Amino acid sequence: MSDDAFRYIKNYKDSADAIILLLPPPTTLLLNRYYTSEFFSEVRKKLSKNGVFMCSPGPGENYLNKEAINLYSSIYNSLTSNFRNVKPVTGEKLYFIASGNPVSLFFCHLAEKNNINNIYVSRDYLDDELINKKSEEVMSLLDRGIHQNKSAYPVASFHFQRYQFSKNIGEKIPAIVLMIIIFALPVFRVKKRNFLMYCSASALAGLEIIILLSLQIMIGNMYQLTGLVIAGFMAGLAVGSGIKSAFLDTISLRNKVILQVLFYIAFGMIYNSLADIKSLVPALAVILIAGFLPALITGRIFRELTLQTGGIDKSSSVYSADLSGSALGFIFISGIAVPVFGIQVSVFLLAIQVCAGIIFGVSKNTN
Amino acid sequence: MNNQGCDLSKRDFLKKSLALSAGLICLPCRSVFPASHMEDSGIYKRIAMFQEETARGIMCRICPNECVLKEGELSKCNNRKVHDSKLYTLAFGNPCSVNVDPVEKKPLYHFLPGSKAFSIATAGCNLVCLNCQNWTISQISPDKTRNIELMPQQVVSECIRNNAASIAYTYTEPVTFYEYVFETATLARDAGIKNIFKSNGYINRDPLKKICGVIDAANIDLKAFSESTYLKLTGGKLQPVLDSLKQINDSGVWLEITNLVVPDWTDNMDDIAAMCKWLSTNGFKNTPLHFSRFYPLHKLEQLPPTPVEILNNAYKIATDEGLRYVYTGNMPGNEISDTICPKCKATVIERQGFRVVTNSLTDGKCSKCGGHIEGIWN
Repeated sequence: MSDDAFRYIKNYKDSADAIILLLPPPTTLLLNRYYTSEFFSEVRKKLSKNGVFMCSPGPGENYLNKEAINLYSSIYNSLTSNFRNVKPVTGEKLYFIASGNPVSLFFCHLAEKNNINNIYVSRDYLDDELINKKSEEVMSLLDRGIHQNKSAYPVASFHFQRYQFSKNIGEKIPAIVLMIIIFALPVFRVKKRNFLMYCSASALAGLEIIILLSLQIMIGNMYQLTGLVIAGFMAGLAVGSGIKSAFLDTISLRNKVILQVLFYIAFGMIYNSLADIKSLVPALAVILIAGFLPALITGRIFRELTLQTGGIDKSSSVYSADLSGSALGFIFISGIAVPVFGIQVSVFLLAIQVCAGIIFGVSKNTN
Repeated sequence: MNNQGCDLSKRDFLKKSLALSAGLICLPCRSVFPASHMEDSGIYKRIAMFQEETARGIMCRICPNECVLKEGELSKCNNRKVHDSKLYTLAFGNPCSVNVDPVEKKPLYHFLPGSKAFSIATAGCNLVCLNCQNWTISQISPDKTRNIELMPQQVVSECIRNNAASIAYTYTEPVTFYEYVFETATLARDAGIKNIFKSNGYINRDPLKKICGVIDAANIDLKAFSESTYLKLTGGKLQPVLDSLKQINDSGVWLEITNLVVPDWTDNMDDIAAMCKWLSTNGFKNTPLHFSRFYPLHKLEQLPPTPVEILNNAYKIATDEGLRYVYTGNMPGNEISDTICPKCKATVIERQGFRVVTNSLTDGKCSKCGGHIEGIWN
């Protein structure tokens, strides 16, 4: 099979008695897709009446620390939202077995009863009583209050990062927050007239991150399409800053920026339905347009600010504001906003960023 | 839009936003920094054994780390702290891991085969092995883990209730919960229960001598056989472990040794040969040696599992050096786990996984040739 597994499952016409997910833990957002409520929902639809699904989101440790519990709880809650019966099994990894029917963990007994000859699943290595006892122990630790892992809210990936960080006990300082503070410092050097550029560029960079993540969720295989997405953004910036348009000149700077804010709000509101687009061509078209339009406005802001101010020094200060805003946007959205708030809320945050640019950056001399 | 009606300048707005954000971020971070003045005095379980007052602070003499601690300081093993000028252990009666395992899982093949071991551990360890499979409890202090209250007498009662023939002090590092081991083992002996010490062997001479007085069997991890590898892999030194092996061997405690073969770290055949030669020439020919397969864990997740042929090569080297009882483990279907009589080469104990399939020993002797098979068989 040479297709994205998520799309494969979605388009699979038959039904299966067992679906076994043999992938690494949700270490990245790409892998996280296979541990989401949306994926489990597709899996459940493709299982036969007595079908069973198995996944293994992490190592099966003797003792689960807090970070591991949060990780497994997010996956467990996503599974239970789709399957009536879910049980954890501790072995070399932590396995979740899910089904619409009751699940038995007496593996050795079942293997013997059904004359399944094998080396490992036997009383030589396993103890059914111990497996069940450990399963109950893990169940008692799982937190039902932890948010489900969803495509637009990849909380499991975030919990896995924290689990990895927990291996180095001395490194609990939130490094990403410190990085964000460092990248936010240039804002004190940005002149008032360039603040709009700073905010708009920051929001656009954040949108670029969100679009790339959405590409993973909607289409899956993103390697060859990443260039296309970034090209869409760059084309928007180029058109916005380079094209002389009488029509666009009739719209005031303030109104252009307000249009950009409205775009972000609208995008946020319809985001969840965008993520359900099944076909490749419409999904790509949406992604390209969603990147092109706000980039065009950001490019236009750049053009108007540099034309107003004039001179090389002033142009370079606008460009500097553009780049430093972009740096903040990239790291803030990817490092904090998406893991903490999810993708949809992060889109609304972009609108707030641009609003800040309007409030504090658009001087009374520009209309 | 302009700022005429707005009292807050951009700079003020940003300053206040950043200050608020920093405050909100710091709220969950306060748990990172220990507030010692709010410590629960209940964490100080027992006065630690083998402590000595020095000019620089209280020295813990249990293991070669020999931490010198001032008031409120935590030891390297995360288990000892100075409080009111005395060294206390934080680990006593508060295990975080309690299980009943087959004794073969320790691994102990020549000690009460087929029996069960009631296994306990508290948090903490005096080494920092990169491949630790129990890192979630070994690299942390007992006051940070979910613990069960199980005082020494209760351990003994639970062991009896679970029909276990022995208590195993394992998973993390029993050297670091020394006092708990000592008191429990003493009570267990009185009740006719055996005691198993599953350890890294990183312990000083006097504490080892004392603990050997109450334990019946030990499995010691010989993690590497070069000082530099040992230091890089575990953070400790090799020589104290070699000294411990000799001391245990001389004490009469039943000893088995485990060597975890880690790709790129301890799979060098020359080092394995040197280790086997050392064991052979230092009185360990009759000590069972277990070569164990490594699986990616903790900080060595990037490595592959140990190839089976590496372990088979190690087995051959060990047997060629004259070691009589060599096993390979942790690779279902490919293990060398049967006990062979060194005299007539008959299989005296057949094992499948952790299960003893057949045991043809009679009073510790091969039923075919009458050759003595070292071990504690009942």
